[in-house]
Amino acid sequence: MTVTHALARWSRASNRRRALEVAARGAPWLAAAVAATWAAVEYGGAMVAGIVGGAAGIAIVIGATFAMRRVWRVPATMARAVDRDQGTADLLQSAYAIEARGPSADAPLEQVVVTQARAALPRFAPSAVAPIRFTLSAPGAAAALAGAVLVFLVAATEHGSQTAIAEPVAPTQVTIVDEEELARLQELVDAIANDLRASPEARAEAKKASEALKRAAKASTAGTAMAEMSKASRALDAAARKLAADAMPSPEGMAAMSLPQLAEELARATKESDAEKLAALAREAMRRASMSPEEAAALGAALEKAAAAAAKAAQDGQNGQNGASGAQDPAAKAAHEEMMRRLSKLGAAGERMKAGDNNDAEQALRALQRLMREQPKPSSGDGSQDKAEQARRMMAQMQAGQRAMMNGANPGDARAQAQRAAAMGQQGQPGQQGQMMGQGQMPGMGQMPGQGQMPGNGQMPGSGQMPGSGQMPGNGQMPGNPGPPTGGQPSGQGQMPPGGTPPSSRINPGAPRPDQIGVISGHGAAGTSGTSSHTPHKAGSPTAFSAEQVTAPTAVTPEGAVRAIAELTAGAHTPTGFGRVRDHYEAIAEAAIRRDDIPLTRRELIQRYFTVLRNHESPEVQ
Amino acid sequence: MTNSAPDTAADLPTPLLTETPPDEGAVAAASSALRAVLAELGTVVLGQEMLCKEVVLGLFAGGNVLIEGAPGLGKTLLVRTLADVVDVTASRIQFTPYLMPADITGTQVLMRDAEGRSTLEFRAGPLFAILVLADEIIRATPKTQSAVLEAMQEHSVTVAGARHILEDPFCVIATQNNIEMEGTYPLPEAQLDRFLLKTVVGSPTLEVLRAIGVATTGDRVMKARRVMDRPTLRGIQRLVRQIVIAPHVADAAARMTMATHPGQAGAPEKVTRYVRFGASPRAMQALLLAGRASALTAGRAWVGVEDLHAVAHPVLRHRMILGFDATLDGITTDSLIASVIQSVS
Repeated sequence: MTVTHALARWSRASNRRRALEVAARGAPWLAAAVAATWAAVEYGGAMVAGIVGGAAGIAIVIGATFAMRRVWRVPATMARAVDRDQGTADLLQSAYAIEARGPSADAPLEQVVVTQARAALPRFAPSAVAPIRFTLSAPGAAAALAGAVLVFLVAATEHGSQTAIAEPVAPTQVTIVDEEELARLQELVDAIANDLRASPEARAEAKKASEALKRAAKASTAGTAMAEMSKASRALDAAARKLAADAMPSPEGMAAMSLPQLAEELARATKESDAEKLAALAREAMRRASMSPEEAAALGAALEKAAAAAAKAAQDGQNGQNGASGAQDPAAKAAHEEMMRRLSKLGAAGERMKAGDNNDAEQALRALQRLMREQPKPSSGDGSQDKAEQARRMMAQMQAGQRAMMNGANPGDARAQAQRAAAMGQQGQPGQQGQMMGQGQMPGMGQMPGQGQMPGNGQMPGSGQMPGSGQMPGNGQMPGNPGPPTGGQPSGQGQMPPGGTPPSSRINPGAPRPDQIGVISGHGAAGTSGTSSHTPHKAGSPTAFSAEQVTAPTAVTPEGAVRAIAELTAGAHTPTGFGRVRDHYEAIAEAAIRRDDIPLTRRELIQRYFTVLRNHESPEVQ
Repeated sequence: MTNSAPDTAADLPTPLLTETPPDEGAVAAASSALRAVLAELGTVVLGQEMLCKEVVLGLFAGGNVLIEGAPGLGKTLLVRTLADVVDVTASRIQFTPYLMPADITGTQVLMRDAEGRSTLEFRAGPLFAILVLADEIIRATPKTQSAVLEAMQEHSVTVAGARHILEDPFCVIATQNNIEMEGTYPLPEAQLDRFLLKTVVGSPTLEVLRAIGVATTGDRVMKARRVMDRPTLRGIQRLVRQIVIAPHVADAAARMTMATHPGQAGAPEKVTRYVRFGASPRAMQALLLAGRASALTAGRAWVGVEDLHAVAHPVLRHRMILGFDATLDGITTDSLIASVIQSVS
């Protein structure tokens, strides 16, 4: 074996062993890098983790490369190392150089050198390649220790946050959910779920809500109970939407109606103040009227007749009630008068249609629809829709109470606050909302703060689609976006107080815009979208926020705002529309806050502004 | 001029007069012979192993040696003993300021033959020896010094226009006293460069001094045996020049030479600061020659970098011209050579 071959073989063996040693010395650094990357993922996100991991990886690769360069062997350096270790005074180096060049004939001693080197190879071989030694350098040990500490800290923080989330916010408050109220709510929801007249989809949603309520009843912590209530609220809203959609006549059904039937349905919708239904039927009516003048005239006559018949029937019914009771309830009287007014307008529209003036008839129907949107819809009290609306109000009240209690109020005060909020159409008091108890929902995202959805708050029953009109305005979840309650008007819960002037809505049945505010129906304020002293950034320690987007309601309809201002300037009474305006503005401000459009230092100021406004309003304004 | 002859015929090693290419055996024989010379020298010249080694290296490398040391340290004894050991003729020249060149080179003498005719006959001077001890060379005038230096360089002397070749191998071992420098003519650097090695003789230790006193004042006369003949000497000198030098060794010698020059790449900071002029290319030749001799003395057929390190001091110490700062700061050439070796390593 030549010296060159031996040196090459020893070099390869040495390089393999040194590579293993470098890899072993790099393991602690790799572990530290992994720990740092994991921490970056946890606290900084994917991009930060990518930067940290990439930088650490590059540093490790560079360090390993330099380490390998120091110990990398080629035959020449291998010869030098062996000569040094064996004390052979450059024998192998000289022999390697001679073999590489080839012995010279003029230098006979070169062959002697090569011979001596080859003879010494067996003696050198056993110790030529240094054995593998796995050593841990001080910096490597420090890096491994740092990585372990980092892993421990991250894990402890996660566990602590999870523990914090899991723990009830108010451990002293044992009763978060009023069992009696919950039972009544459960009963309502179960009735909806078992109502065979409702569509399967609505019943399925009601069933979801029922199961969520059952879990809420069994919840051991406030956070869990509120989360389940929120789920129940969402499911209930979905059920209410589906029920409202079920109640709407289908396009095919409307097309199959005769003119008298169509007129009767219009009269019924007018009587019930069902604006969405009226809009759908009105569209069909205008379609029919546009077909021919004869059709228009016949339909107009039918409308007149149907309106008159309904008015007469209503009057007869009212007279009968007055006669039996002996006194007329002012609220009932006002409602009756409103109904008669609506029927009168319907008859006027029919009259115009009969006269051939379809445009005027259409305008009259639109005006009627606007009027109906501003008026509360009377509740029949028996149907699933009514039950759903009632359940939603109860749900909102319960959730408001929960928040009040979790904010430190005693149960009595919490209930009073919840009832007051319900009466005012509010869902929770300022400062109580936005308490994100780990519910994963941002306040004011069209939902009860942290809870779900306010009744009539964006997720409006009947806020499905008008036939042929695409998205009803007010679809989706709009913060502070009350819709017309489809239920009745029980005792001012979420209702416009009797006599209150409903703010106008600017819903144009013919041109719905998805970003439009739903109906500002004059009952209750727009759901407060978290006018709390806490921004989501100051909220508890939620680990996740809802992914739902806030669709900022657009400005209050000019009409509504103009009316409010006009009423203010008239000075005759406190403008009732102001509450709607304020709620819309508040919702817009909240939406802007959620989008981080408003600096942190200003957000609380804005929220306090609306809180002050709310607190100074007299009840009758709202 | 003293003709030395062996008193006893020692067992001489295998002669190296063979014309066949040298082999490992020849290297071993030469190494053995050199060690025998050193050992024999050590029996007479006590306590001067390094001096003996460097002088032997210089002789077998075919160069001249400059010895610097105080009087009475055995410089003359060493030369005479060496002559006895290697069976060469030796002469001693005591340089004085009034010594003329003809006194050392020889001169032509007018002779009358039997018939009464006058002829000029060349009478060789003390330079006509193989081993010449030029004692206190700096005391002679430059004119006389130049006669010696010519002999060192040319291996010949020119007298009256006639060139007389000196017998080979010719080696001058010059001495100088570093104490009494007044009234002397220090050798110029260009001439110092002709000496292969410059060795510095240190004072003996207490034990060595005691041994010297006992050995030299007794009844017994210390005499070295002849352990090498002249053909062997010549053979070893030829073998020295055949010792293998690997490229990396030659590179190391070149870098060491370059490192003695201030401002050159690789020169240490001390060299740049204290050295005025660095070593000439003769220094590299001297390094390699002396390195070869050192390797052969160690029994190796190849030169290692450690051989260069071993001969760096005697080779370079008289070839670096220091600046005045070195004198002020007490910097010696030996310390600078050590920094050169470290920088190259």
